[in-house]
Amino acid sequence: MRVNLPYSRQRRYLTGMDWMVAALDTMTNRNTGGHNTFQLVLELKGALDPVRFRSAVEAFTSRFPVLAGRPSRDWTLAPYWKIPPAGQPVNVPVEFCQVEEQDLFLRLEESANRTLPDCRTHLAFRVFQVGLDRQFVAAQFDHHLFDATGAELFLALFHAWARGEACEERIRQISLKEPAHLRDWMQKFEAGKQLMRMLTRLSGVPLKCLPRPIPLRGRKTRFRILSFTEEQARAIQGRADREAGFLMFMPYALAASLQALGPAFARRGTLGTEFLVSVSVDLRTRETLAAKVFFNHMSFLFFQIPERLIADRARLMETLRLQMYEQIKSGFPKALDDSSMLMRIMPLAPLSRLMLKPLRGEFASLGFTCVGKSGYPGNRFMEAELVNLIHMPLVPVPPGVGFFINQFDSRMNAVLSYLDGMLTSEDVQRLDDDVRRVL
Amino acid sequence: MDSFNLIRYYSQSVEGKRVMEFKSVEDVETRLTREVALILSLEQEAIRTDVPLPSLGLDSMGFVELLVVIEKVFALRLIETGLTRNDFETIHALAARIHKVLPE
Repeated sequence: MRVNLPYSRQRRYLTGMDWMVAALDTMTNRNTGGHNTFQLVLELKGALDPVRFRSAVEAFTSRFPVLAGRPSRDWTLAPYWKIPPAGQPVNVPVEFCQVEEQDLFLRLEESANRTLPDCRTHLAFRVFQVGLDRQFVAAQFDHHLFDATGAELFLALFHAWARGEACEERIRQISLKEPAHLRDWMQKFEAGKQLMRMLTRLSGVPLKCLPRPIPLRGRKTRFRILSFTEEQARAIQGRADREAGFLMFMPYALAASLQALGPAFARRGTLGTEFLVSVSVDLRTRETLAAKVFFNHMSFLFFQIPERLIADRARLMETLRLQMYEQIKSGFPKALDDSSMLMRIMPLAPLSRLMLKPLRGEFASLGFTCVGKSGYPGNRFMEAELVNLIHMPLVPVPPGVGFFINQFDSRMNAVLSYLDGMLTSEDVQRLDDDVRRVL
Repeated sequence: MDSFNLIRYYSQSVEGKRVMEFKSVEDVETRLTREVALILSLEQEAIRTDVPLPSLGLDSMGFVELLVVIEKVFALRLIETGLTRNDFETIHALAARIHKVLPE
């Protein structure tokens, strides 16, 4: 007879990828004092009623005690997310303020860099009112509990719930079940061997990395947001089809990002001859999309590009396509996912140092994410029109610089995220011009 | 069976068996439909062969997974060819493209 122990409802085991994300948080916090969080900005036409919004946030988030949880370990040393019992308060700060148009961007940057108030707060909303009928809702998410797609799915569900749509079934579909993964060790070790082979190959490669400013401590992340209209996005997609191939938007966008960033690396006199780009990829399927709102469901691809290829667009895209193909063919994203389970036994502080050993203190030249289809359908948020949805992620340090591309409602956004001091204003402006030209 | 285990399974495909199995475009189409359903974790009946692949839910990652499976099943390395929209947009178009280059 199977006995369901009551404590298991308060326990969601962390996967290897959850633990790696936590290690990146520890790494970043040690270096700059910052954390591994990201912000989604919803640009609204119209205004949310503060009282109604606060009340809706409080009522909706109280349905998810997981939002008030924190990491812990059980007697097997497997880490898990400790979920408080239902009925305990869930703290989600909500702030409203009026800002002038010229101050908006700085306020959004400040918001993205804010530290969440305590270890049990993993979500916050800051609403910036500009003029009478425009608002920007900055939703800050803790990467321990959300990845990019999960955050969009959560906001979409909140919107549906707030509007009174029937979404109890959707809420019930959200799964917090995750086994401890304390079996199939041979499969995990085989996956670990595959990962080690790649790291061994990369360890001899002279990486190009932007020099990090001194001191690192206290430095904030800066952003440059490039938004493209529906017409511009359609033109970009057309060029991607013709130059990179059908459904090859990710390699196309990565090639463009490298061509734009390459000169900045060259101007800073970086040593090394190869770029290494870590690209996060979502592992959800259509079947699991509704269930996997919380925690991290992604893996990584790593692209190694000789500096001399940056100027040759056609060869650059061909190289990226082939590397993507070979890594997926070899099952690398799944191998990384499996092998990372082995790292969960390590405490975060030593793990965050160990992760940098293979590449001699580096993690990659830059990070890159391309979110294709948005997890947020439609163009409404509560009672307002949703004009745009932009991601503003804090890139872990190292590498401290990254590109994030997302699509929303036929539009596209490309966001450069970089540690203050790693790029000059001139670098950023040139990058802005170059991305618009090459994308 | 998830798509990554499928790739390991298909590494044991034999060319002779492949030729016999795919006599017509419809045979290729049926097989591709099955593979796309596995990649997307959908029922095979839910996959339409005349609908653009992105509309089925395939993105860059999923498309490359499909190309990998095509290499394993049909021994065709399409990633090195021109990936034009006309040839790849739907399962039906892709099946016709594959069948055209399969040995007699």
